[in-house]
Amino acid sequence: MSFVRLWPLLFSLSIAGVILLYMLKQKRKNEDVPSLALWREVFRDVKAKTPWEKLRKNILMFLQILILIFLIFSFLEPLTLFGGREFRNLILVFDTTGSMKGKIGEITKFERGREEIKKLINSTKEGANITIITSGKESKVELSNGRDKNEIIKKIDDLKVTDSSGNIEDSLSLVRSLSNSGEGSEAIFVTDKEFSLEDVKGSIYNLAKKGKNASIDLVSYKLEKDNISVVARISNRGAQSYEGDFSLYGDDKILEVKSLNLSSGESVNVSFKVADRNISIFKGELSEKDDLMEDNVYYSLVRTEKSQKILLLSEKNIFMEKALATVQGIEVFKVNSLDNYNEKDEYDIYIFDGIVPDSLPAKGNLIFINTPTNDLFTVGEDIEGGEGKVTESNTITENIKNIKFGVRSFKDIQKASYLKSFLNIGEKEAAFYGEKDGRKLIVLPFKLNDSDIVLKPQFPIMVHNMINYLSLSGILEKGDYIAGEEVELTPNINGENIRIYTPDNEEKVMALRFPMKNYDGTLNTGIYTVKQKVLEEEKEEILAVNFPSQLESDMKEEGVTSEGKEEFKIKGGRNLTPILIILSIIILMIEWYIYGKRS
Amino acid sequence: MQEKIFDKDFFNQLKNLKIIMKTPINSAYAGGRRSKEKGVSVEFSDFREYSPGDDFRRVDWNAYGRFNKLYLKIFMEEREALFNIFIDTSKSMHFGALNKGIFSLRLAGAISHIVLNGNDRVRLFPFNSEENKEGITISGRAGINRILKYLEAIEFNGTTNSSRNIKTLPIKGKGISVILSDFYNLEELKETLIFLKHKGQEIILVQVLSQEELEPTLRGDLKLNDIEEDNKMDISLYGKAMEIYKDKLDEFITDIKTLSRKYGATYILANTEDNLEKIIFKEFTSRGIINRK
Repeated sequence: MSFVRLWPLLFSLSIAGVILLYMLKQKRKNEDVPSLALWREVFRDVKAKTPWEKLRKNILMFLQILILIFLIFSFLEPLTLFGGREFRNLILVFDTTGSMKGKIGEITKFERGREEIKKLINSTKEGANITIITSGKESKVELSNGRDKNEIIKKIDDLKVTDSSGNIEDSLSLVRSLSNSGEGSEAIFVTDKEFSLEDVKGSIYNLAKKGKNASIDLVSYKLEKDNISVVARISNRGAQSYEGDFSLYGDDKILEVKSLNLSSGESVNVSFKVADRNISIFKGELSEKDDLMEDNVYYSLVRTEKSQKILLLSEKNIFMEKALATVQGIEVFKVNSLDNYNEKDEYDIYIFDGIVPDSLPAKGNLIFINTPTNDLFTVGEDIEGGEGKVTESNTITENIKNIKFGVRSFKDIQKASYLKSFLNIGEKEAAFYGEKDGRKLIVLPFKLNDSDIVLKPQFPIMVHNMINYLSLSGILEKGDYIAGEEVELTPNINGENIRIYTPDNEEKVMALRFPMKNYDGTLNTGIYTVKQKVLEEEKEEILAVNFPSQLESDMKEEGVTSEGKEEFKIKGGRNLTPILIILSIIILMIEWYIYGKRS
Repeated sequence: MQEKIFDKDFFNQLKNLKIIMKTPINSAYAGGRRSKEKGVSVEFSDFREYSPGDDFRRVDWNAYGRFNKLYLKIFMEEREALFNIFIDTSKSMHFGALNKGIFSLRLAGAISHIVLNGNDRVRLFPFNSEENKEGITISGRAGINRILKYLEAIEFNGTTNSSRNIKTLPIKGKGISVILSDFYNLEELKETLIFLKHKGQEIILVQVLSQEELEPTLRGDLKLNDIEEDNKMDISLYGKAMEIYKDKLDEFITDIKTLSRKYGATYILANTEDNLEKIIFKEFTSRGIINRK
């Protein structure tokens, strides 16, 4: 037997009050009789029948005390522990990934799990140490060794499920380390994912259920000459066939609706031609309600930046010119000597190949190829070349990790603190990229003609990456994110702090600093707004966060229970409160009956 | 007494009643009651053959004319009977919504009235532990007013001690003794009965009990107060306590009945809720104590 709370025991003082009342009430009524002769005999006989007679005499008092006791006990919310569990150290791991928002009946898997766990906690003996971990995008300890049941319950009630994906197995190492510190620890994993507990002592409350669920995996677009072609991919990730409509919205206006009929596991691509090229947000939506609603909507932002103006100042760099020709959305202006260079002309990106003007342009991003010392960095002696390779995976070396090239000689660039290398030549860091005072720059320290890098198939890709890196001058690197994904922010250094508004219109202020901290609050799907005030002007960008349907939408399988056992059952104690209240009412009725009969 | 004990209607009914006696009267006064001895009176009893020495005046000459034999007419000799009415005036009689004391006085009045109407004598003896009144002796129909006055002056206080008091009373000759009491003191009753029997009395015990004593409605935690003895007793009456009381009451009445039978007394239980006519007509006539003319 355990009790949810003990303070109502104070009410037991009222029992003394009832007894006192009866004692005071004991004032006997005076009755005249002509003679006591007969009554003396009656008294002897009545007395012989005590204590039963005594009980009869005070039956109302006993009943009232009994009612009080039952009521007080009902306030304590007693729970029987028959079949219940006892824990010394209990670690509760709640899966808070998007799939836990899937419904079982009227409530979500997470809510179901939470209710069961609350029952379990109520049925545990007071004094068990309970640790609560959430496993969403990452594992986090929400409560460490809580003892107060109310606090624990409150904490559990406050837990929130996100739309992000995550791997519950990642929590195992955390559980393992916490288990080691607590003797007799047991962990309960509330999840809908299947995984192995390995050496962790505990059980899995697997809430995975076969359900009905279709998801939009992608809404993508391609800007064409006269229109935008949109393609959407919809999958039936439930156990039943799915029938419903897919609606495409452009800036909240419905554009087209297509009917779908998907059998379990089937995916389909639907394409649309949208004539209006001014749409900024496409939204796909599945009309039919299913067990997981979060993956029924998908946003796609349309980036329609005007083409970037690039100045290529090069004497005869045909390779660079050719590579730039493959990059879409740029306009290249070629100048072959400083004489033809006009400082007043503004460009988005400047590429200085072997030549640098006396004063660097005030605005725009920069690529330096084999240039001498300038305002931004210092160039040293020429060094004998060697084999070049990628330093590490970063935005410039994306998809060209395996490139290997030869260089005859290169310039020794003195690495400034804001520069990061992306290419090594020999063992030396040679090529750099970075951002200074809000301007991005890339430094290649060798003549392209003295290297076979230009002959490698990866070269155009690298140029593409470079232009991409330099051309994104907004706060956001990109517009489409998956829930849980971190958002890289590139704010204007002259601006104020960045404010991010979630779909629920909650504001999060990101302090301006360099390097800028990533925003990790994309926990729910929807449109987020990012704002920064720069010199009285409010810059505003949006980003779309979509549900990680490929990882979190599956509802085809029934949950296999912990370690092959039957369905995980929390043998929680039974709450005796309703029984006690019913008993109190019954006794009250008996009391009324006796009282009525007596009077 | 503050109440009017007798009303006119009641007396009208009693006018036609006459008391008969079971036992022969042995008194010097001639009265309106039959004696077992034949004598001179107007009431014919029997014939018998004449034998020398008989009173010539009582020869039935008509019968001689018819049978040619001398027959004497025999008449019942009428003698005056003496009724002793003992009234318990202890405090215990002053009880009940319909007061036992008043009831006893009314009953005594009624009996006296009948007795006087029958040309018999009545002696009233109120008794309790404190008082030892000699009472009054009345004869003649006109004496009823004195009796009423006397009865009305009686007060109920003190305790019962029938034997001590009754024994001191001057009871002479045979007669009828009616005792009106609640008889809560059984031991004393026995002595009284022995004494009266010894005095040659035909005894009639009238136990006067109120409805509150016969069917008490007491319940709960009580402090019982004995109004006679001024004793108190705490008692809790629940459940079957009342049934126990009734059993005890039955035993008590049975004891009195047994005692009455043993000493040849007549026992009458009078509930104060009963009306007097019922007691007089039913109880007294059915037992042959009184009859209609």
